[in-house]
Amino acid sequence: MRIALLEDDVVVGAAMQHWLEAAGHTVHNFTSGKTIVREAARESFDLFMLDWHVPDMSGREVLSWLREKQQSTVPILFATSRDSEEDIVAALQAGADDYMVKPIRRLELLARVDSLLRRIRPKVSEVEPISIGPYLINLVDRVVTVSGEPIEMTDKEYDLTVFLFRNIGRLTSRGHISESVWGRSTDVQSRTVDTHVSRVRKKLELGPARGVRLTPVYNFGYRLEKVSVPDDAAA
Amino acid sequence: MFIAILEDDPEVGAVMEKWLQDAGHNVAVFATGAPLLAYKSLREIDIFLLDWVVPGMTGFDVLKLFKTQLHIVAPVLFLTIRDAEIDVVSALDAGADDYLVKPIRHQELLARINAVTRRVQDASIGISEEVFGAFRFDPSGRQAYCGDVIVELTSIEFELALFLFKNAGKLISREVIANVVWGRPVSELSRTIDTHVSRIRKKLNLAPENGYRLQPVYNAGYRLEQVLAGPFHAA
Repeated sequence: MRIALLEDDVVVGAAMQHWLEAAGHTVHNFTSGKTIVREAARESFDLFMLDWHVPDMSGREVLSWLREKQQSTVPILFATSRDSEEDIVAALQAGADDYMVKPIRRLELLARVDSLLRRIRPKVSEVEPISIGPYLINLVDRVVTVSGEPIEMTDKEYDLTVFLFRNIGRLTSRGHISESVWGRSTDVQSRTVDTHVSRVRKKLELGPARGVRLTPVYNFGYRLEKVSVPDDAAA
Repeated sequence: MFIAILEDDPEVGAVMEKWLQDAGHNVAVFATGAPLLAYKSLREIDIFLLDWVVPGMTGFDVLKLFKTQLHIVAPVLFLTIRDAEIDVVSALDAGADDYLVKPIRHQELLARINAVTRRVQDASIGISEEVFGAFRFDPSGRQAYCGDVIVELTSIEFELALFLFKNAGKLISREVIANVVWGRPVSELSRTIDTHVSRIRKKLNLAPENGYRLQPVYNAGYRLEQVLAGPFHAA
């Protein structure tokens, strides 16, 4: 999962980044409130981890900003040295989903992150097929079928399809897509993402007639969502 | 909410029962696991608070039965003196949504219960969007659309618009709007409602060419009316 981490202590930040990445997540590290807010305005993440005391805008302010302006349901985990009951209550009431007091324990952090992600996306399985409307994705054989007809795709198109269907209902940024499909190290241009999305849309005929809709969001990314098929569409 | 507590210490159980009742919840306390599992209203419970060490079957056993045999989806919080990292991790990995180490603090408990509940509700409303002609409202992302175009609404504008659409055709008084959308008496809001109504009218372009008309009703409130007109036009 793609995690945005706000932590101004570089040593602590590096340790947490390492723990999370060793568990298979990708981590974007931020050391000030304003930098994480700027990035969150144009990129989607699966989870935010916030320290309270950071330069120029506190984690608490970042939390309120996220809940009001952006990504209103994204899981947010507070990790801070502030351990008073008032602080914990204030952060939870402002919309934090969990609150950990430093020092953070590695395995507990990973378990709490997994617990948050599980509630948001209960079905992240590596073997269970993904089935939505006429679409069936067999993750073991890497085959996509539409109403039983296998669709020929390149590896990247297949990976992109899996990403979009796993995130059905969510708005995902181009950076998020390229990171999951092409990996973080490669510098993929956003046009490449758009080209692949448009090819997948065509091949899978993603549209209301098939119970889904793929919406581009200007300057941000894409959202694949379920729509109810109109009754007269069958006629 | 309806909350079940598994706690063998009668004093601790009574204190928590009082805290939760004072916060407006209904509470059922169990000293051991067996009567909890046999409880006739088990499936009506909204949230479970489980102690780990109780006589007979442990809270951890109860959690495992919930997840593997009984398929209980209500959230589970662990409240226990066991503070070893391995215990926290095993409970979370087995499906617990949060883990608190005793002694439990009053306000923190209430805030964590709210946080977990909110998370579960956010996840469940995921993809059930509301469609009204050309307009769509996605409660999970708090996103409104006119046709395929995203309309940027603030959180309160989103609530207000969705409420008006759900009650299209009816005269909605300003008292009701104040109560439902703001949760405050109309006397405290003065011009706020009118300002917001005029803003959503403009942002969503609630006009006959989009199939709707938003009418102020003098001295009474507002009525959103569906207009059966020609084809829809995105704003």
